[in-house]
Amino acid sequence: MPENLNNGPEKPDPSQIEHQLRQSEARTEAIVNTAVDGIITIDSTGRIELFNRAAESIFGYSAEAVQGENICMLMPTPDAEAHDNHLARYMQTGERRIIGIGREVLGQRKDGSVFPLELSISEFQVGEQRFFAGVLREITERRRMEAALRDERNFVSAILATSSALLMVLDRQGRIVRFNSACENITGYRFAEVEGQYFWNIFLPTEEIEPVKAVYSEVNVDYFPNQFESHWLTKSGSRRLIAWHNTALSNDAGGVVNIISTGIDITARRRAEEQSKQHQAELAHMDRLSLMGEMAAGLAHEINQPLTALYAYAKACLRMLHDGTEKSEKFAHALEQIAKTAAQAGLIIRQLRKFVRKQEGSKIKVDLNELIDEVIQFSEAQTRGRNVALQVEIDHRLPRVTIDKVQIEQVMLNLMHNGIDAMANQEKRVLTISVGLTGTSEVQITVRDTGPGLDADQTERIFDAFYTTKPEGMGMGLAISRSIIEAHGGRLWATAELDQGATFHFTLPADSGNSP
Amino acid sequence: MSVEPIVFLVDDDPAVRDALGLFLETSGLSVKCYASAQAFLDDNQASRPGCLVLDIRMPGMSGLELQDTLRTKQLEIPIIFLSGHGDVPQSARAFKGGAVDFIEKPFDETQLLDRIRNAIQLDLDKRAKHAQMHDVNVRFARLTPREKEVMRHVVAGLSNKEIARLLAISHRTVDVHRARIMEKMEAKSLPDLVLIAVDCNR
Repeated sequence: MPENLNNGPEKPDPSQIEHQLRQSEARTEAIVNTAVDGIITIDSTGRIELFNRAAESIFGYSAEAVQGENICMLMPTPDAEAHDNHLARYMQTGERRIIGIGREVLGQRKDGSVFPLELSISEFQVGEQRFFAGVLREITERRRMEAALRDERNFVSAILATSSALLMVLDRQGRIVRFNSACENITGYRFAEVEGQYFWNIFLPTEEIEPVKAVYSEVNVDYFPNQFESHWLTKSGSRRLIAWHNTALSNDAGGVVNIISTGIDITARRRAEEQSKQHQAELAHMDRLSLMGEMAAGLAHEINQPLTALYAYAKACLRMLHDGTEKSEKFAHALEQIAKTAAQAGLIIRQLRKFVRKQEGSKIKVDLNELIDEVIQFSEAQTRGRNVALQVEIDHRLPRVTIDKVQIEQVMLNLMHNGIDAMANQEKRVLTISVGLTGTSEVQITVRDTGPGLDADQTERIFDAFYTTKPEGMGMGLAISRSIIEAHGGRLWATAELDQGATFHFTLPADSGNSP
Repeated sequence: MSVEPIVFLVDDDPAVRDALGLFLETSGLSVKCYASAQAFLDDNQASRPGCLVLDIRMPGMSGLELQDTLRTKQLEIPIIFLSGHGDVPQSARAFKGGAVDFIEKPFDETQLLDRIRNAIQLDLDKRAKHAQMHDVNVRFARLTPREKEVMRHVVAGLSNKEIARLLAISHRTVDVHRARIMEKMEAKSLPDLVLIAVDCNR
């Protein structure tokens, strides 16, 4: 532009020069007035010369209103008061404060409001006069957004830091990007120790590493969100069970950028749940036992009356025989009553049988190996508490059986408890449970202990009701067990040699045609 | 006693009642059977000598309630309770109420008979003693006030001389009173008189 102003080898045509000058001026004015940034020029004393449209809209003054006024009218206290001095000093010493350097300053609008603006200042001379041009941009919005962003970041960081939930962010490859303080607390690792590492190498038990690695080798958005439970190893080597919920952050192209995993340590909760489950199972067992006890008590009362009568009639008959009065009507009456009372007692028993049958649960197809597994888990506390070693011999070729699961579990538990009780005073305490197919139609389960064993007489008598060798026993366990097994079409018996331990066997008919 | 002791049997179970009644009868005892506690009370026989064999658990008035009723009526017939198993709390209450005995069903023959005979004997002894006391009281009533006074001192172990001094009468007069007392109280000797006096609390 300056070249156009006054240079040129040719002799200038004054009218053309003026024309060019006007054009240039118009161009400059257009640029100045359409600029997005505010442009203000001042003279060396600070009086405003040029005040473009953008400046008008930024400050709320019209150009006419400010032209010739001191620039400090656009500044808030104390900048306004200091400005004249700054300017004077510069004019004297040439010491620059802001010229040539962009900086943020405060402006004051016509309405008195103060706002941040970014200001750059340049100096130019026209003739002897020195002028300053300021280009300024309102940055209120940018400041606000920066502040909002900073607040948001602080907010998120605060949440991450104070959350009791585990929060871990991974990159697409499974390397740790974020790791909150809850993670640090539970694992014992500091974020700095694990940052950038593949999380599985640090936290997963060996057996779980490969499958997880395989998932991350082809991870994509369809895989998320998901949730699962997994074990984590802490720095001290203990295992925690964590319930994870994972989501993916994806880019515009739909590729996974980050994986955000939130987790809750459910180790204690799961343990409590399992304990309560076991406790409930024990209660159910106690319930069944006490129901049996109540039934036995009720039965005893029902049977007691006719027994008393029968005994008295019989004794009366004997006395009459002894006295030689057996030809009397009383004698015949007593005998008739004996028959009648015995028949009534029989009726009570039949009703009881009917009642017991009604109580039977429905039968379902069961894998005996699984049933044995459950029963063993259930008695684990007892076997451990009594120092009993458990040996289990399972047969994987077993056909299924159709049984009342609760009842057969009852029988198993009863046999196991008997075995454990029998070994109380033994040095060697081994309880062996084995299961196998006998022939093709029967499954046989054997429970063997290393207790004192039984003599030949006992092996039968132990199945009698009310026969017991235990001081607090009711003597009903084996009798009930045998009736349960027989109701299933099986047999329950004992084999034993003295000093060799006792073995109880029971069979159950196998389901036909579904052998694996 | 002229009246024969009776076993009163109260049991709501007809088979037990009938069988037990027959058994006791064939054992040589007189038996009266009742199906309920109320039936027994209505029969108004409790003052007769004998004993009560009582089922502890009955519908309506229970055995224990009957025991209470009899006590309030001061009918002190010995009671043997029949119980099923597991009636321990009731048994304790029954004993506190003065039950003589307890038999668990089904019972043992000799045990039941022994207890019944024992109870009857207890009742007879008590009645005999009551009768004796009544007798002694009648005899005591025949004494004059002076004789009663002298008897009290005699039984207390005072000598004639001491009694004479105490009552300010002559030794001879005490002798006469003593002879009359022995005669009226039908005592054969001094110790006999002391026993009679103890029996009737004189």
